[in-house]
Amino acid sequence: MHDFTVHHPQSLQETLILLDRFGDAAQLIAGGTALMNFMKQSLLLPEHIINLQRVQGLQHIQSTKDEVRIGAMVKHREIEKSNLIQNEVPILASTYRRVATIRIRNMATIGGGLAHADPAQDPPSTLVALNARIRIASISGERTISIMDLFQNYYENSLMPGEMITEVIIPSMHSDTKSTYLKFLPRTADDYATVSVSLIATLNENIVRDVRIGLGAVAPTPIRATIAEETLKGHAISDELIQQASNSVAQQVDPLDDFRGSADYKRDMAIVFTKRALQQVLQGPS
Amino acid sequence: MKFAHEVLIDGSIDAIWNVLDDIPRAASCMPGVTEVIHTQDDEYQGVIQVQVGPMKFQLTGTVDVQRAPDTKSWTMKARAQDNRVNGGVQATINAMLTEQSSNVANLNVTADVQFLGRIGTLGQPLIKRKADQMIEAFTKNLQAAVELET
Amino acid sequence: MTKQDALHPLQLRINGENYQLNVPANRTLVDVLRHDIGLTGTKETCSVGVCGACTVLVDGEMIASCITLAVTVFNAEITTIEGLDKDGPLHPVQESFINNGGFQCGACTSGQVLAAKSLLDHNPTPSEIEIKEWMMGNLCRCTGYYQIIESVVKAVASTRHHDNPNA
Ligand SMILES: Cc1cc2nc3c(=O)[nH]c(=O)nc-3n(C[C@H](O)[C@H](O)[C@H](O)COP(=O)(O)OP(=O)(O)OC[C@H]3O[C@@H](n4cnc5c(N)ncnc54)[C@H](O)[C@@H]3O)c2cc1C
Repeated sequence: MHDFTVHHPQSLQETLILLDRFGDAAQLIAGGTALMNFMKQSLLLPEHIINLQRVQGLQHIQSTKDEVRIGAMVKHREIEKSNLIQNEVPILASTYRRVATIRIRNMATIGGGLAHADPAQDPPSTLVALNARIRIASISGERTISIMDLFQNYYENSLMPGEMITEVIIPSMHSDTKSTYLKFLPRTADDYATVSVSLIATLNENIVRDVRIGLGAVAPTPIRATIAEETLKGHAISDELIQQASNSVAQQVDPLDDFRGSADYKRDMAIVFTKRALQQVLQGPS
Repeated sequence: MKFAHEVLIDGSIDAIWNVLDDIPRAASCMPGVTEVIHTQDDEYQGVIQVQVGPMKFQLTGTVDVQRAPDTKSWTMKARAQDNRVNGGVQATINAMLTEQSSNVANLNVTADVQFLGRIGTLGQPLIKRKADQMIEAFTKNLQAAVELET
Repeated sequence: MTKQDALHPLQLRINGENYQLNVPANRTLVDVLRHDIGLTGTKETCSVGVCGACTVLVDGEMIASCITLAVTVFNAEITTIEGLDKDGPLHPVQESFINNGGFQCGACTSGQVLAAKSLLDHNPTPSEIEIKEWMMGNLCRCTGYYQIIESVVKAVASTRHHDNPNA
């Protein structure tokens, strides 16, 4: 690896000052799982590395009446094992459980994972379906954005120079809400998804009251299957309705041809996995 | 890696060719191009910055252009290098205009690009998608430049 | 704060011993263990965090030392393969790997053994499915997976026997 200087700030304020001072020449390091691989391949050559691991105030998992707040430095493994998250946002715990291996999940953080912005990651489609919000800080203040506005392109987030993610805010799921996360893994169990589907739905008897569908690995960013959602909302569940909604995702996906499958294959699998998720949640045992 | 793009550009074929044949101007329609200098005859020197997330590649190199005004087309041979990350590209790019109607022309761009060194580690599918996005932006900017022209 | 010419001070606690070092800031943990300290039991194989060969435990949890920047390790207890038999006898997992042919070329073995130890520390009585799920991230290019799983299954049985000789 190239030469660089490592800084170990203890507070958020100290971190933001360093970020402001070094600008483009600095990279934050959280779990390091993405950054280290980029640096080892000489694809990223920051002169300064700002270590977030000793910064106070980024490690919490808290809940209030209607939302759960997760500090940027909380690790994937902690999210997966948290009783609070298992109870209040079960789909989030089950999604983080599907990332890579335990070893990677012991290292990777929620903030680093989101900043990495690889559309084939697992958490983004679920957080998109959950309508999560991202809290961002810089030396000149704070802002909170919808997670949909965080992802721009492959590996590209909307953070401005000097900004960092401090917290992820997730609206609590209603107790009558059902959900599932499906990850299609035709190669190995520790792989990235070929396609992934995050589904959250609330039913009123046989009517779909509310439904949100996030799709991963099928476009430059995670996407919401909005056509399918509109097709389902307010309608009585039937095999035809589920098929029609599933078919519509083909219009919204824009996958890459790669070693996990051709674009055509991924488009087909997006339909298949959306359908399976809908069958499981809308027609499965309650 | 081979690319082929075909788009319709609004404007008379002569107006479009005026922009396309002015190499520094045409180059400025490509996102990330920061400078293009005419060095001699058909040779130009330029810098293009390509960004994929946090990764920024600064490619510096030379371009040889062979014009064929009769067919409203040119062929470029480009060679560029990023010395910091030790990677580069070699490309042959062909652009050709054909008249579709009095104020619409068809622009056909084909390219054969080789990625050398580190840049290749990003993986072909991602690079191809990125290049497609850049060419799409190029044609949008070209359209805007043609509108300024007329 | 360091550049190559100004080394970064690093304090590590490894297998119960303290180390004071000065290392380049860009050193990975596996390189510090192997080259600066001489604990060569930890192996580096894929170098990108995929294969599990470089597994070490930080406060009891598995991490990939090949993609860990050494100077980010702070106030933590590191356990490497050398730590398992430090007090004399081999760890039951090591015994079991020997008795059940749990390794061939050996490149993945340190990581496999530490992964299994970590599993048993978290869950002393895992089922075979739980063992497979846990060990899934440790690759063996000799494909000796049956023997590896068997080694862990038998290690579980032997530790249960130790804990409760009447069982
Ligand atoms: C072997 C392997 C397998 C993987 N498999 C999967 C998989 O199956 N599914 C999946 O979803 N993912 C997978 N990943 C990707 C993994 O999820 C990411 O590498 C990880 O989430 C990044 O988090 P980190 O904390 O390690 O980030 P880092 O590597 O520390 O940082 C990543 C980037 O984010 C920036 N950054 C870090 N923290 C912040 C912050 N708070 N605010 C702003 N910017 C920040 C850094 O500067 C850096 O540019 C895999 C990774 C590896 C190495």
